[in-house]
Amino acid sequence: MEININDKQREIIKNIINNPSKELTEFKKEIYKIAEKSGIQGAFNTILRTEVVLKIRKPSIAIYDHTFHVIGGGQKYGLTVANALQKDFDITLISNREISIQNILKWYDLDLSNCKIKIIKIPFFEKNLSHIDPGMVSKRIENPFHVISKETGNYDIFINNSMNEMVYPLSNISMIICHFPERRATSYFYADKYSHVIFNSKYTAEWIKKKWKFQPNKHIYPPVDMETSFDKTDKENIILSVARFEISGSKKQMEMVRAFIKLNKKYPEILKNWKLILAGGSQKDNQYLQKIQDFIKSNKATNIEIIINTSANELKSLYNKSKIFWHLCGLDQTDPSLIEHFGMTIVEAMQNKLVPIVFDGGGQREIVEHDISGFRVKSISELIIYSIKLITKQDITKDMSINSYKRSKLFTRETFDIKIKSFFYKILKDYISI
Amino acid sequence: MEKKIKDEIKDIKQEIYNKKKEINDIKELIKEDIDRDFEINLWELSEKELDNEMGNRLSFLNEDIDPRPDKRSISSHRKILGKPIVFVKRLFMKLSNIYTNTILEKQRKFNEELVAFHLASFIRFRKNEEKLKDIEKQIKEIEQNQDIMHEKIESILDKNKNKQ
Repeated sequence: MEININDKQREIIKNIINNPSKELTEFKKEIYKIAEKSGIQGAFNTILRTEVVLKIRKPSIAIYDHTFHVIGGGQKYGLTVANALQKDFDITLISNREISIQNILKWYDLDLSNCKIKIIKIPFFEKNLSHIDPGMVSKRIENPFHVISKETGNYDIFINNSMNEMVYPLSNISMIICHFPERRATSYFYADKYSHVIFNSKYTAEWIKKKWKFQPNKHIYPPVDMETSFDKTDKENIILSVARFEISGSKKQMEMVRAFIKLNKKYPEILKNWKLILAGGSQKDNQYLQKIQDFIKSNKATNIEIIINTSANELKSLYNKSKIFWHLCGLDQTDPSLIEHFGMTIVEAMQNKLVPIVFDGGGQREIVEHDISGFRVKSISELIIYSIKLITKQDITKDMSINSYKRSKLFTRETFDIKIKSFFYKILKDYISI
Repeated sequence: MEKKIKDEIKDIKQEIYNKKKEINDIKELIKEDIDRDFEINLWELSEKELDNEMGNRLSFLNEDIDPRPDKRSISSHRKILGKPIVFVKRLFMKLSNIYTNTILEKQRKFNEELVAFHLASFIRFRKNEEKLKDIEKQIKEIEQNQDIMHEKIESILDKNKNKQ
């Protein structure tokens, strides 16, 4: 909630430095006038802005994510924003569960030692549920996230990195980073009350428009940094897939296994030295994963390998030695939230010169230019056709690998940092020029 | 900047912060209403969203089966006068219950039946949906097996041709 500072108040703030005793009395009077009109929060916001204008302190930013305590691409987005801005802003990370600077460094290679951490417990979720899910909140109960809403009013800028539009922003400047609009505008919906809505892909923007009925205003692709320093030119005959083994099967590993077996049966001579590697995280007792393993066994497909919960270094090595990348998330899917909103692993592969063959939908359309930096497919038969094309025509694969690498430069951490800094410094410039 | 200015601004800030801390209601903090009602266009919803919507609405209906007034709904924000006002209101409610309960009890039974009926329909719908999904899966598997069979037949035919 940005407070409109009128001309008189503007003059007073400017004159404080020259004539402090007179102007400070006037300033206090004006602060109470603002409190009368816009509430005590409005008055507090004016003081916060004055402090920054008079260079009494650095501008403050709070970044909130109710899932900071678990590893994820969305969380990495918010934390990379903190990393880019921590030098010039006083940053506080707000979470509802315990997090540590050490874990952030380990998980994302981001050193946020200049940032503070504030843990705010939400009593409703502490009492009733093990994990914090805004989807459980309806208008039948009091908004449990207001404890966070209240905290937002203590900073110059509040950034909501959660998939949680139930936090009401009280700061002078507010931003919600939308990775995908999971819920529609219903009870306790405040996403339209933020001064800026940042979105991670055009696909997400499309769904914000459809579900929330407004146009978000700032597009910044997520940061991806998987480029390995060791550049392997003689890659091995490996088709790689990197995706979590979701119990629902939404990442379509089973379809990939079937497709690879089919490829082998159809072109045994061409495929005899090729391998499919499916790498990804999985929880314990994953039935979907078990089903895939059983299927591979029953088909005696010895050239399919599954690597679970691999380390970052091992993953880098896999990217480094593979030639082709498959990603089919979204295939045969009708629910838009289950189609890849962006597709970070595709970019990771491209940064390592793999040629991607991906499902033609969601954010994947924004990453891979069909027939230039890879292929986009709508069916398994298309996947087979383009895979054979890449396997048999080395020159095409080589050219596409170069294009794919070039394309990946659009999504690096450096590009992300430049965009974030330029966006925030412009906002800051407006904030301090009264 | 002079230390005095900084300190004075700090004092004003602290004064306002203390006042802010005392207020818990966001609406009061900003002197503005924050909650709105949003209409949902059910036709726009995806399968998953419709499923959630049906579940949520059914649970709301279930919570509201009993239309009889609850004495806990009568409360007061007044510090001194609150207690006697609440007492009088609750007394009036108790007296009028003799008449209203006969009507509302009938309504309660009707609501109960209605919710039970909706729940049964919902479960039936779910089961049919699961059956449909199973059938779709089976068809897909048959199609894929058919493709593989087709491939095998083709390769056998090729081998036979070569032999001839």
